[in-house]
Amino acid sequence: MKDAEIIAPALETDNVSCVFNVSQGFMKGTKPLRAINGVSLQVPKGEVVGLVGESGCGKSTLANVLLGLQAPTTGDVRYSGTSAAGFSRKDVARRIQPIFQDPYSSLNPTKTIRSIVSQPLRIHNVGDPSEWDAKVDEMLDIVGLPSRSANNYPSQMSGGQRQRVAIARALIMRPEIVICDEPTSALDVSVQSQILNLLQDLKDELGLTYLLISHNLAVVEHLADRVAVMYLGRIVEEGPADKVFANPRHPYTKALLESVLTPDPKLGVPETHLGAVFPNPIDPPSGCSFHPRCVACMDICKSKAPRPISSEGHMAECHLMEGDAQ
Amino acid sequence: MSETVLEVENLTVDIPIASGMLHPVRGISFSVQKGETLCIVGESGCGKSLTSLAMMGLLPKTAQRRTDKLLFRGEEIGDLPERQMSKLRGGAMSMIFQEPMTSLNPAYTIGDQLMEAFRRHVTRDRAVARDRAVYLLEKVGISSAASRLSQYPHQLSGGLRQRVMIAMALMCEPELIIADEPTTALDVTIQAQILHLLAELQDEFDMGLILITHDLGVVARIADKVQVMYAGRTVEEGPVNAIFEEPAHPYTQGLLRCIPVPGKTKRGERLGSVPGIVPNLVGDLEGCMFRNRCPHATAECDTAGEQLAKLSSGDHAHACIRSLADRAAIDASSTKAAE
Amino acid sequence: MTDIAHTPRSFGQIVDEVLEPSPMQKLRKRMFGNYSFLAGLVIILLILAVALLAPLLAPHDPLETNLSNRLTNPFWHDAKTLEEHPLGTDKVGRDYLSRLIYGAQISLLIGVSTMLISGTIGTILGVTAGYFGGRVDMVINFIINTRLAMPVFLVAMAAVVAFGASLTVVILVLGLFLWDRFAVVMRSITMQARDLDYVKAARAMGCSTPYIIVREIFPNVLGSLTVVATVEMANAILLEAALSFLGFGVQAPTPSWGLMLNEAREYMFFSPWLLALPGTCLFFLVLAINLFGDGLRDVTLEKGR
Repeated sequence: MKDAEIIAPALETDNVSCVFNVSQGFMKGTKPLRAINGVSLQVPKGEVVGLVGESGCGKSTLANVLLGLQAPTTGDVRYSGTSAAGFSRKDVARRIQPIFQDPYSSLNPTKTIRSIVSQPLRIHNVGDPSEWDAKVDEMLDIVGLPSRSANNYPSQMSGGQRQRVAIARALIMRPEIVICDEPTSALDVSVQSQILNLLQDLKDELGLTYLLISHNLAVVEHLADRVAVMYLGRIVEEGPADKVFANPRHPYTKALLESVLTPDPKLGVPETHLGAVFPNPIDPPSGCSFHPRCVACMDICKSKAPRPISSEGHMAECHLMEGDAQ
Repeated sequence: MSETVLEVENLTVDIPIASGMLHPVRGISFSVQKGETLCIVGESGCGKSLTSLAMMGLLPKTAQRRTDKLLFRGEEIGDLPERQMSKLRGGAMSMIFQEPMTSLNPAYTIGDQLMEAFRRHVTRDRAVARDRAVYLLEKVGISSAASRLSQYPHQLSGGLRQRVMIAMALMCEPELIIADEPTTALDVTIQAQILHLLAELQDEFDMGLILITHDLGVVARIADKVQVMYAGRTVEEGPVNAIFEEPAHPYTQGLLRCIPVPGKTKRGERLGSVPGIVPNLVGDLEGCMFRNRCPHATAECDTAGEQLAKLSSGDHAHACIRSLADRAAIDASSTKAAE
Repeated sequence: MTDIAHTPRSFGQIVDEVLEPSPMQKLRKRMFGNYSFLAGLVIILLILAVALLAPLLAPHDPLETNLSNRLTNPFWHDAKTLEEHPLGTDKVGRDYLSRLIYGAQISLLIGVSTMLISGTIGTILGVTAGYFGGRVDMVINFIINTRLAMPVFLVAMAAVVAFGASLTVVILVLGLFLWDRFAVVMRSITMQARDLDYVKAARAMGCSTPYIIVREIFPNVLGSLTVVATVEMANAILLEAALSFLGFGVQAPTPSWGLMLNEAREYMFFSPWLLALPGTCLFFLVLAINLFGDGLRDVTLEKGR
């Protein structure tokens, strides 16, 4: 804990918001959509932070902001304590790289594997061009691909192999942080575990820091040191993974955990008690944005938004917690 | 007491392609009772989706289907003409697909699509059809059902669309529902809801349910019987408890080691894996198709058959020439040899 | 889990390998299996060879008149002419075969240069609109619509009247007007390509926008671009022939097939071959280009599955 205070986190967002103006139709003007709304998140160096939430909760927008692809409307992103405000795209790229979900669309089909993996070296003009081939071979070896595959095209490889290529491309510049956006959900079960093992090994070997975005809570629980739960543009619970999984504080986290289908035939299909309707982010509910779906909804939840309350490094935004705190 | 809805024996699908004859499904047999859930589980390319299409008579034109038996409610449907087959499909046997957006027609309202098959198969009466549509939409948990009838598919969220698909599948009181990856495109919370709904409705209407999926979590929670497919064959079948507690085939064992399970696998621990890829199923095939990925494979496996052999506990069967004890003995001797 | 076999190292090599031919090998295989593509290609190459080797192949200067030897019959009517003028002569005694051979040059010149000009304009506009979207897209869409509201043929005739008729004017007018299909097609394809993850990966890598457009997106739209280019080339050749036929295109004595049709009009009933020969040439060239384009679409665009 102390170390984390002395060393600045590898990645940090400070009250970041992202507002898009969404057209309401011809001549009707626009309405603001708060894709992310005041997110403060820390990813300590060398750790894995899992980010979970339903589709439409703002996970992808947050990932885009962290990758420097989307400027935040307000707030600040810091890499190892340095604000990204004055950074060029390349400065950001050297620090943080993404791995995407679908290895079929993340590799350009017209290029060879060698050209794909060496692309960051060419863009950033790193070192001597005559060494690039050797670097590519080394990187392919690290991710477990034979060096002869460098001359193949993506269409000649299996899904798992392509994901390895995508990982090689992300790591060849040796960034500190990698954003893994659903890295295994497009892959077959037997391949998923290989990629998860690889990510784990690479983290230990190269001292990487991961932000793991996934809807598969079993994967998050397996890899992550800390977990952040996102709902409608806000982080509603954040804390050490074992605490969050063992003792979730927010009703939404509880519902998410109940929905996880562990392969145990003794348990039936879970009943989640969540209303079906994910609210429209253009027109979010008043008060606590989760209240229409919440089983423990109280009167105060409909009018007043809860504030974040943390104890023992475990934060949750819920009025239930305020009762505890008092 | 229990009544068999569908019985399939030795289903084979062959597809001629440029480089020879592809054998994606190579002799599958199973049966489903009323009120029973059969899960067909396997990875991409194992032939599970083609199996479901073959049952419904929806295979691509070039594909050739052969069966020894394809009995629906005790009647052979393997040689029915397309006309009668399509009558059966919308009515007593219905299907739910993975991507509700592509199986709903964007040009028609939910109501039109719900009522279409019903009015074709059951009654022309619009009012009756409408009542049933509203009843079923409420049944699948859609609020203000009557007003939803006039909405178009794009106005609904993914979860709602899948609910509409389920309502549509239920319109003509089917005796069998075949669901192909019905929850794969959905969020975890919605997935749990949809599966819950399917299980509930199946109970209520006493239907047979065949669920095709790659997700072992889904299988464990909803199945009565499980059929594990690999390379076009059933490699293991049995009651759900037996499959998950005493997996017998090396492939099933390998798959179960691949998935992280909260509470069981430790954080950061290496997961097991099944190295290698699915074999090419073109041309003449011999021996056990899993041998190139199997940790226990020996020379015998090159010529071994893939017949299902019963295990001690009743319905549980697997397609490995060696018993569990045999494999353990072989592994022990080979590690000794290595030392 | 002491069983080593179940936990193969993911460091080091993995065993799975997909034995697929490379995209180039597949492309080659499909090209040689596609007969309309091959037929089109062979005819185009033949006509191209004729155009390039015109000075060697043509028995006479196409502009050399001989008033004493006007409207001689082709060899199937009059075997004597076989050596001197195999396809006879026109109304001012020019060798018809030589004029047809040089006409191929004009048609191809018009087709290729128009396609290059309009292709450049259309691709730049379309890719820009598709990649940036929003206001840029709105403005470019407006330009496209404005262009579509103008009748090419009438504007071309007006331009010829204003600037005088010549080969250059025809090429410029057609080139500046036939870019609409390029723009529309490139715009929609770029829009699809823009949202793919490899473009996002390139952005996250720090690639500049021009680099992404040229190196990431362009190679993937090249197939569709070539298909549009062939269609537009055929279109330009036909338009040139029509303009020349009406007297608004290439001016005499340049040997253009359209112009030859115009000149042959009055002899339609007495010497029908004067009309039929350039017409047939035009027909085969345009047919070949379209066959080639169609085949090319089948060959390149079925990449997905």
